[in-house]
Amino acid sequence: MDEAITKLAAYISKDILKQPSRVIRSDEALISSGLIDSFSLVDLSLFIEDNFNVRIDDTELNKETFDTLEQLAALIQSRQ
Amino acid sequence: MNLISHEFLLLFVSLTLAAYYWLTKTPRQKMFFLLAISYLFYSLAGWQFIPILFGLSLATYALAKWNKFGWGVLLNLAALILFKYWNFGIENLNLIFSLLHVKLSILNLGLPLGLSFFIFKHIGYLYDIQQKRYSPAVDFWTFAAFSAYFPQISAGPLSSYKDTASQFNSLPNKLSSEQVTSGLISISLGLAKKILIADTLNTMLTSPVNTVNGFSGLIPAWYLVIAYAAQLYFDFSGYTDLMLGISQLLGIRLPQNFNNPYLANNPAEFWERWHMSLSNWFRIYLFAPLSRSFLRKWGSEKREQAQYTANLITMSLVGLWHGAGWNFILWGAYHGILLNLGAMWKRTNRQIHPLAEKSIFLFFILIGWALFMGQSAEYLTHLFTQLFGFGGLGARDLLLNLFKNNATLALIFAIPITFSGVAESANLEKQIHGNKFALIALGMLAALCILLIDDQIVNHFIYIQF
Repeated sequence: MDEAITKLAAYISKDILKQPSRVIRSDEALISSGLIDSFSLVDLSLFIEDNFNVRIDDTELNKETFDTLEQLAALIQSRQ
Repeated sequence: MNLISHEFLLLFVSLTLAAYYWLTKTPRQKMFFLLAISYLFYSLAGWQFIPILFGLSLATYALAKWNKFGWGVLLNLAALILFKYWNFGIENLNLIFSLLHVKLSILNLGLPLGLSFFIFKHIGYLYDIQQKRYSPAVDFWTFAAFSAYFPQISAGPLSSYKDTASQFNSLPNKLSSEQVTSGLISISLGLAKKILIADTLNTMLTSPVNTVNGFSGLIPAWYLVIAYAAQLYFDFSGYTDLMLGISQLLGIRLPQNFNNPYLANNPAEFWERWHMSLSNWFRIYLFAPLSRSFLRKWGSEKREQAQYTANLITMSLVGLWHGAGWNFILWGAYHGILLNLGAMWKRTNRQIHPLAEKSIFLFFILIGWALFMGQSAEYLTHLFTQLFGFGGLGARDLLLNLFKNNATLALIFAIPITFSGVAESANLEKQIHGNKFALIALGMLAALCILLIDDQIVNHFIYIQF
């Protein structure tokens, strides 16, 4: 799970936020804080599909399904 | 039927609730009762459109069952275009053809109540079933009850089949006192928002003052735009509170549609707070698939281009959904541009004071409403000329007339209520939970609102026309 968190955090900071030096904590709110928007969520879901072979449906791209890297990694793990 | 009338509030709703709890016992009986009462409600708005609602519900149900999802979407879109957009297209074509002295005739079909709302529910259902998000409707009657459900057919809120119809299986015989209180709070707040604020502002906004020859100057122009922004919010969120409350008394929870939209800091946040069920629909059924396909086609190196294009297309269609008029398309595209500017600003990683951010964004939202309220190109040109100060500050007599108007009093109440956060029924419920005096005061306010209703005056909720 730690490996997944590291990989996801790197993708968000480098490719989505374009801030490679930005550290994203595993319990940091991603959606409810406005850090990543609706488009970036779709982008992130494609990254997850390609790298973890797990599909996250468009209806699940919201803070109720996951809001932190920890929750997202757990969701990925539960579907692998 | 006018929703703000004694006929609807005291007769239709009261008799529906009484019969619902006395005559029906099982969830299945209750579902059939809701189906029948919803069709009765619909027939009171225009019985001639009953075949449209019934036919589209039946066709959507059958086509989903036969896995003909594309045909189902096409059929629903065709009905939407025919009733809502056909004449708009013909009028624009006639402008072009006038050079050739050709004139196409327009259709006088009328607009079925809630057409864009129930058609969007149908399209959402077809797409969800195709994506295997949940099982298709068990029978046609359950789907028909979902499609025609009277507390949401006029102007939403939109909900998925899964979220609404799943509640049909457990419709209660009795409600808890908390559920009843919560429903009544929502109804009372909705009535107060509509009758005391929105309709008072409406008297000014529909008066001769709000015409090209009726006002000039910076102050009156901004006054009218701010009044319109308040009216739209209080009218539409008032409708939602009223309908959510009625639905809650029937034991069905519908989704919230507003969360203090004018407290948003940026365009993306605004759309998470304003007409949430519609923005959620567009996000799931258009924006996300569109973004996904652009990202796959263009690659993640061109993610900015993909985002800006998806935002512009989605928001222009959100605008068009609101009505067949260029001002709505312009308003939608304007919001697409705002979303793109917001995304660009975010990428710069610059920070400004939150209050400054909020104020700048509020200014842009108001400019958007000015586009939305445009009655004609002439009116829009006049309004924008005045908004940007090209017509002076405003004549003294006009300013005095505005100041003395009841609409000003409504605005004086509306503005602090809007920014205090208690304008939403969910927030108000938390604030006054268990406070008997507050509940009594709210009940008295609702009674006053009902007494103030003049059945001779018809003030429909604004979003019913969309």
